[in-house]
Amino acid sequence: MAIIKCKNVFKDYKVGHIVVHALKDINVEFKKGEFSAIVGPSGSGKSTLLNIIGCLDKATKGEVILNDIPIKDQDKNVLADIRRDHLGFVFQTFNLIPVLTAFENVNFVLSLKKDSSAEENRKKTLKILEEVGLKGLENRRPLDLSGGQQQRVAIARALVKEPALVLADEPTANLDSHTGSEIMQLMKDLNKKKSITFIFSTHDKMVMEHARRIINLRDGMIKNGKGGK
Amino acid sequence: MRNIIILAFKNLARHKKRTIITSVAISFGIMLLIWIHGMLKWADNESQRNLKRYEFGNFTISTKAYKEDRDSFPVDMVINGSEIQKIFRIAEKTGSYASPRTGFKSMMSYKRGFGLPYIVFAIDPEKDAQVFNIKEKIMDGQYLDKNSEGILISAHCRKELGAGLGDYLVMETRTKYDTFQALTIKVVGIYDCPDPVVNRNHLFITRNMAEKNLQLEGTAAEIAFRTKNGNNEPALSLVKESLSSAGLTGLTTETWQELGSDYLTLSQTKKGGSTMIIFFIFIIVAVGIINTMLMAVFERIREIGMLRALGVRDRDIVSSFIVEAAGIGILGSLIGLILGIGVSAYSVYHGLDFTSSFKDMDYGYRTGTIFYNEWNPEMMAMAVIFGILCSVLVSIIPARKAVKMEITDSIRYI
Repeated sequence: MAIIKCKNVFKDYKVGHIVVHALKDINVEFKKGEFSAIVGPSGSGKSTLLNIIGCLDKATKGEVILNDIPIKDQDKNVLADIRRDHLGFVFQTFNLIPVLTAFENVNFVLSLKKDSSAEENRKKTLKILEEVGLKGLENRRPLDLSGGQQQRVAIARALVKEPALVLADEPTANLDSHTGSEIMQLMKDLNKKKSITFIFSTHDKMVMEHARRIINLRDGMIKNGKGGK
Repeated sequence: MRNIIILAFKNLARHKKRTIITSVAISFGIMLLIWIHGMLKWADNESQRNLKRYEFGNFTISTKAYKEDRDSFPVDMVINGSEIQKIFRIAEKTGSYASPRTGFKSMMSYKRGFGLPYIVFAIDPEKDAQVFNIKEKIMDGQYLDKNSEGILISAHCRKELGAGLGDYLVMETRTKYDTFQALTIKVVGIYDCPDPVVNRNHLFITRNMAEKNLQLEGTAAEIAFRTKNGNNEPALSLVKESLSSAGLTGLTTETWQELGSDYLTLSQTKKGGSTMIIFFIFIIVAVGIINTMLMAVFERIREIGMLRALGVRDRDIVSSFIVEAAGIGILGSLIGLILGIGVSAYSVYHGLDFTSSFKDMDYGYRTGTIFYNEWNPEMMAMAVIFGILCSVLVSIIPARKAVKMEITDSIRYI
């Protein structure tokens, strides 16, 4: 079953008087449990595609369907709810809230949903932090954690609400190769364990090696790749 | 929403110095607001009290002709002796004190100095002391008695003429029949009155002396009333009825509000000035908050983008900035309230001496140059609410800016 379907997706940007065609007729589907990489050089459109899939940006033309919900013409509040309920994000620069502890950063996303009690949220948060290897560091603030540990908090934050899809934009770009490899292995393990779909963008060969499917983007178009449709 | 509020308060502690500096700016504004408003309130109320205590009493009775020409202090449009007696009985009936007074223009000189213009009031010292408070303000010498042949001058007049207690002044004036009269009068007392109009212009002699030398013949230009309850009513209505029933139709009454309308008009204008002060304080608060919140928005653009990516709605992000601004507003307003109470307390009990600045200046208020404060709890509450509301209102602009940017641009913002 496809978690996300992109049909004839185009994205144009206006830079001054020049129109830049960032995506050109993208047709792609991602199934539940996939661990996929969107790869390509800088400016190939991988972040743009990830943003459109993540309801952070809108396609100029074409259709994007997430969990059977067409997202193209949704109101910004509905899109916020879709992101809250169905999507998890891992950013290149971690983007944790510096005034909150690791526990509070993760728990924060659970508290946005009103369907579980504070106690349930607390248990879920502690569990996921343990799963990403941060047991004992729950009360540390981001500045007191290493880059790798911060990215683990970000992964825990993306996964704690058990989303349909986790989008990671160059998740290892700010980490050394050893830590980057550990982070990729962690995401891979969690993907396997929880059957949560992961899509990440990268141009790092080491990261690509972890992917089971690679979508190769060149000049806004899908060229070729490995695995899947 | 709870988590958004918690986040807002944690953000307050994020840049402690900045929060404190902004709060101090707000508290300074609120303190000024409380202090200045309390001082202006005191000055206004004190001026109104002084108009009654030293210039007009609660109301006066005079002839209609005198009322029309009051500013030139005529001594030929006066209340005659029998009418005065009737008015005394009316005063007794209404439980008020009444004091007959005749003011006339005089040139006063001392030794070979030039003559300076003053208004000299011929008073019945005993009765005048029941209506006016000059007697309580004697600083040197003594108050007049009924048969005194001397003059009571003000501290200001002493300074202007250079005459002291026991010195002789020459008073040049006109009698009721418009003939010149020059008298040499001994200074028997010096008063220092908080009403600058009285202090600068008014001197006092007895009616007995004035009658002998100015042919006043038992008349008075006006009779000032002081009511027992301190208010014009019900005495004023009773007096009006009694004047009418006694057939004194040539006489009329004027309240201290009518007589002091020049001051009261000025007071209204000064209230406009207070509004300007409040406006400037609003600017202090607004600039402080807008600056702080804009800095907060700009340095947290990526964080805002991330929060929106996580599914936090725009209105919740705007709310979190407003809560943060409200937090600064509450902190600043409460500190301002404490400082305002402290400064006001000092001014209430000790006053602030502006003598060196206001010495010879007409600053409009009928007060002395030591300015006190009046407690004003309503204004204090208003100031706190004003500080918080101001902070909340002006934070909406930067808060809305926070969610204006595209999420993708926010996340990539450097």
